[in-house]
Amino acid sequence: MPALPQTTNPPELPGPKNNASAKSSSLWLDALSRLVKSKTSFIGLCIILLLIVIAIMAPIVATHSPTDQQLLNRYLAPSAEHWLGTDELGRDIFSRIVYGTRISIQIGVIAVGISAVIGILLGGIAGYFGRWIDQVIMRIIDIMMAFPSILLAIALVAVLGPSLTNAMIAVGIVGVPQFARIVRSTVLSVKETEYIEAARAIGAKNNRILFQHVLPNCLAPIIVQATLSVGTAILDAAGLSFLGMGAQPPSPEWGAMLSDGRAALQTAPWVVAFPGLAIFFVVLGFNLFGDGLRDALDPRLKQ
Amino acid sequence: MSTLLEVKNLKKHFPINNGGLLKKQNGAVKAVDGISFQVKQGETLGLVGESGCGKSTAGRAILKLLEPTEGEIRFKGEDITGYRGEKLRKLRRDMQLIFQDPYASLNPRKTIEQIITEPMKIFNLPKQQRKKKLDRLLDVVGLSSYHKQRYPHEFSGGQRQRIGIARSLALDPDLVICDEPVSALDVSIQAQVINLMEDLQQEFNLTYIFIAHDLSVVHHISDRVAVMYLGQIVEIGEVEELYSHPKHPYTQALLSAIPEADPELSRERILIKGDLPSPSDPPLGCKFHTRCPYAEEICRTSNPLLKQVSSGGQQAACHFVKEVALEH
Repeated sequence: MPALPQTTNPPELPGPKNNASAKSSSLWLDALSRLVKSKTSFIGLCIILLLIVIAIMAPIVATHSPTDQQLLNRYLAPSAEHWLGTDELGRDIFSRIVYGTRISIQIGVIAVGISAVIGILLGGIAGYFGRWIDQVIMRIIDIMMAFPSILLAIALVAVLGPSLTNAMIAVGIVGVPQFARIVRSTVLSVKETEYIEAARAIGAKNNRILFQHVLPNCLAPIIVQATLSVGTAILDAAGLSFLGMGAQPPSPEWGAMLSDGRAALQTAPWVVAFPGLAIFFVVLGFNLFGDGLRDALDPRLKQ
Repeated sequence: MSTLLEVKNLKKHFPINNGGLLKKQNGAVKAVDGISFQVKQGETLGLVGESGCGKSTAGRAILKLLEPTEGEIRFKGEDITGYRGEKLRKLRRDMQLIFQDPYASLNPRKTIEQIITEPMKIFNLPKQQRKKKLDRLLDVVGLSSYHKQRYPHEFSGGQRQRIGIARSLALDPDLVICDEPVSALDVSIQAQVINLMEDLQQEFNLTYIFIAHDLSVVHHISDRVAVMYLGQIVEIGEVEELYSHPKHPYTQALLSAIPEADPELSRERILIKGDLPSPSDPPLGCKFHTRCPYAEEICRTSNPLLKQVSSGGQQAACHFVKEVALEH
């Protein structure tokens, strides 16, 4: 056996120098490594990344214009020319789904953003200050939760008028109670910790304690809830669009596509099937990722 | 030496509500039930007692982290009992707290730099000054400047406690209430932290109220000691006098429980029977009578007050101080 070239691996020098260069690993890095290790959340992450790439590159990925009508080519079955077939106006379904990704991501992010901001504020204030403020806020939240969410969204859109923007606002408001409740319960436990008492002891004001000490420590459940909510928001918005209260024609929104195609369900099932599958995969992706995230951020699962 | 802090008849009762809608009050837990003492500038007052006797509550009530139910707190001659809002916030510069659990008392989402400089930020110290102070504080508590950017979970218990100490010194307080600062640490680390606290007291001219249940630690660090039982002070005095001539039967029992590193030494252990009575329903009369080996009829009916028991200023609350002390 030929002598292997000696790989020189100098022994690590002990002492403060080594210590100083050691990188500060944060709680988030820990969580991230756990997240990537879990198979299901990795699949979820892949779906979400794929979705984002498609949305950004929509003009390159799409084979046709999403709104270009070819009335002679109505209800064509999937083929080499039209990968997923065409709809009742002869538009290419694959291209419409690709462009619809942009709308769905937009809906997901904006609607959840609205829910999160309002929910975190309400839940944070209710949990932190307690007493009558808590009672008032949480009873309003209870009333909101007593309505079926889609009914509440329909009512809101009915007031605001049907459009994609209003659908996002409606879906956002419908999602507020979930955030408010989760944030409130987390705040209730965090505000009893010693480091919050320490913050009070060094003279911090309520605003500072709430926004710099309490809420940053409630981040993990908020992120999990946000991820899981994106799926629900997309689903709700698709529902509104299906009812004609969200995206307006000719916008290639998946829910609206379902609605347009349902008349031909028997003769041209692909018109409905593919947008439906798209919704299914996106929601699945966010749910898998959200569940993985919850496991990764839960310190009790730390070994 | 001038008196820095004076506490008069301080009470903190926690109401017990029955869970119903009307929130009817069903009595109260009398965590602190009328304690009075003085702390002089630069001294260390040890506050000892078993778990649940109200020592931590007393500390927090003095700092006004808990609103006292009754009584008066005078700090630097000023009555601070009614302080609220901005006035109370200003007071925080002068009175600080060191926590028992170094794992729970540091915000896990902040770096050491953020944790230690936050008090200075709150009180608007200029950035340059904050930086200088941070380096100095890290230096005096024995941490290195490369620790600044790290998070609390990267440190050991002793290091974390030193971070907590640095934070509480950031505003140059006069009075530091130490709530069992070493009871969560290993014995070897305890000595380190105690010595550090003594050095800091010298250097920054600090006054300590040192809350603990470890009698040897208290003996080591305190100038005077107050013994608490069920929300009341049963004995208070100079540390050497109190440790060598305890007058109250409860103090005697506590002290006899300190282990001695001498197997030859035969000692009489004074055992107290039973459990600590519930502070929501304390016994009438002397609160210690249910467990006291010397209790008589008068102890069941009348609560003894603290009275002078020696020329050195030692005070004890017992009807039979003289007899008990003789017997000991």
